[in-house]
Amino acid sequence: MRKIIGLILIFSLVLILPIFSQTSAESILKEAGDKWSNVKDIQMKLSITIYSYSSKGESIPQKMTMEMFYILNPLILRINFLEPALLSGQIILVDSEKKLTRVYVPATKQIIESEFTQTLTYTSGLNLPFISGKEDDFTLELMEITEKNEKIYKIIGRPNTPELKTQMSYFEFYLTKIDLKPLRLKIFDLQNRLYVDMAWLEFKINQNLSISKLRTLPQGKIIKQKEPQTITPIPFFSPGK
Amino acid sequence: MRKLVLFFLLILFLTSQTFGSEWGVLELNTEVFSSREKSYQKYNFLLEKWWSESLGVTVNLGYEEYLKYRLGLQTPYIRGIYGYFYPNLNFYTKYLNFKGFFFGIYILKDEVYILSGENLDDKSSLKALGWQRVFTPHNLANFSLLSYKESYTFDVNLLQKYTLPLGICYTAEEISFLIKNSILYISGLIQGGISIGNFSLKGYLGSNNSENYNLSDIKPGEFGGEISIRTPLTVNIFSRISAGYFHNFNNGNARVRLGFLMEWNLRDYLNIESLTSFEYRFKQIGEYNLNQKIQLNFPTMEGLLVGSIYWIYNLEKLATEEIIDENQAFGLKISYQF
Repeated sequence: MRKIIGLILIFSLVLILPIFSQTSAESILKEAGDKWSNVKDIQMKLSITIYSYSSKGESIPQKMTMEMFYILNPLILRINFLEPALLSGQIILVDSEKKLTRVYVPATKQIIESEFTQTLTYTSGLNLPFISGKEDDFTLELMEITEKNEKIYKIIGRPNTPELKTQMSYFEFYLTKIDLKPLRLKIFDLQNRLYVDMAWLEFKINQNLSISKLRTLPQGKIIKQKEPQTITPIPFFSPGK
Repeated sequence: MRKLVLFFLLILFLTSQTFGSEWGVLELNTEVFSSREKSYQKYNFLLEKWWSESLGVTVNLGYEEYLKYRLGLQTPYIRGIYGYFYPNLNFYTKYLNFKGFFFGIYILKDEVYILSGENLDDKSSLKALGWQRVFTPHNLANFSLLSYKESYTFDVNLLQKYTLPLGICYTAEEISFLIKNSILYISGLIQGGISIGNFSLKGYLGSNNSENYNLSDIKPGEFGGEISIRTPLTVNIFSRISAGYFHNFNNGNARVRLGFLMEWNLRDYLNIESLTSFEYRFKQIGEYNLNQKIQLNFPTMEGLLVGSIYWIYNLEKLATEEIIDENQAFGLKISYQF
């Protein structure tokens, strides 16, 4: 579960981190970062699909859909899982003010509470979801396309370092031209097959989200974890290649 | 006595920092109960604090026509319960309405315990001596000798449990040897369950001999079992469906039992629970028992305080159209977690 939290936090940073300022792709990402770092709150619905491939080359997609509610100050993040059915109804709350993480498990009606010690540090590196690295690690290319009468920026990033080159061949990041809202992120594996496909289904800002409302979980038995939680491997996030 | 209390407090203090998880609850509950014969109000107070699974205290005070109380203590070395409680020593004492005490001592991987008191339903004295052993983290066994109503049982319970990604899996076997009037009767039960994420599947199948106690889901003389499936209907609605069939080979009677539980997280500030159970007996067409509970929960204070209102309806109907028991209850419960 912490892995999920980590991933969510990482890809949330893309909205608030000022990155790149030299190329046109970089300037667009910087502008987007500046824009989203000045909002009060963000509410979004997104899906993440991870593809694995059989020996015959048939793709096996595994999809996860969630709602995210994000207050920037104090930093409060709530994730409501919608699918897969195994996780639907599960809620994760990351509360930087109270320095705790709560996970609501509907199957057992338990709220597992643990200390949240991870601090969010703003780095100048590339902080796209599922991707980490310095700005030199990728060569970026900017394209402008039109989909359904909407002008869209398409940024293609190709890895430069040997380490990143063993993980992916390239990624594509789509965002609207008019208001720089993120639309889609695609990551391709070494065989140029789609590996991760992330789609923002809804994206709203400044909805006056209530801190108290985000903190209120459905009725459940609150269990405080005083020792580091055992991380249960989640099949959904097992290597797909 | 004071030294004993101080000793327990000292153990609590010294060991409270060494365990992984904790929870506590303070609960107040009142309920008005009304049947065809009588009506009265129940009160209940519960204080429970657990520093870990092996360290906790419970205090329970209730009034229900008479005063009921329960004190419980769990430590890594000893555990004890005193007062009114359901011992649930094994499957065959699941519904034992008991007054007395339980005391157990842990010696390495073993626990030796004693249970003594009376069954409040028939005022019969009951005593049990048992031994519980953790063979491996996945394999546990419980052996107990129990005397009750001039009959004696030797019960063996075996449990195997495994942790799965997002869930657990367990199987359990129980066998009960009853000696009564120098005749040996055997009852047995197997049960199992698997839960992964929001899905769970549980079931049991067993046979209870005709001389055994009427304290389990399987009545004396019956062979049968029950299966239940829990699954989400939507993101906010969860259901559990259960179905059971029991056949009595002594008198040819059979019964089915159906259950449906629904939990609906309408809002974070409002949850609704509905539990319906229905039992139909084939001996006489039209004979059944119906039980319905509806509960509204109102979490507040960011989930720490939950107010609940519930309604319970129970109907026991004979084939002759004569209702033999009908009762209802309204309840109010406030629980605070700390």
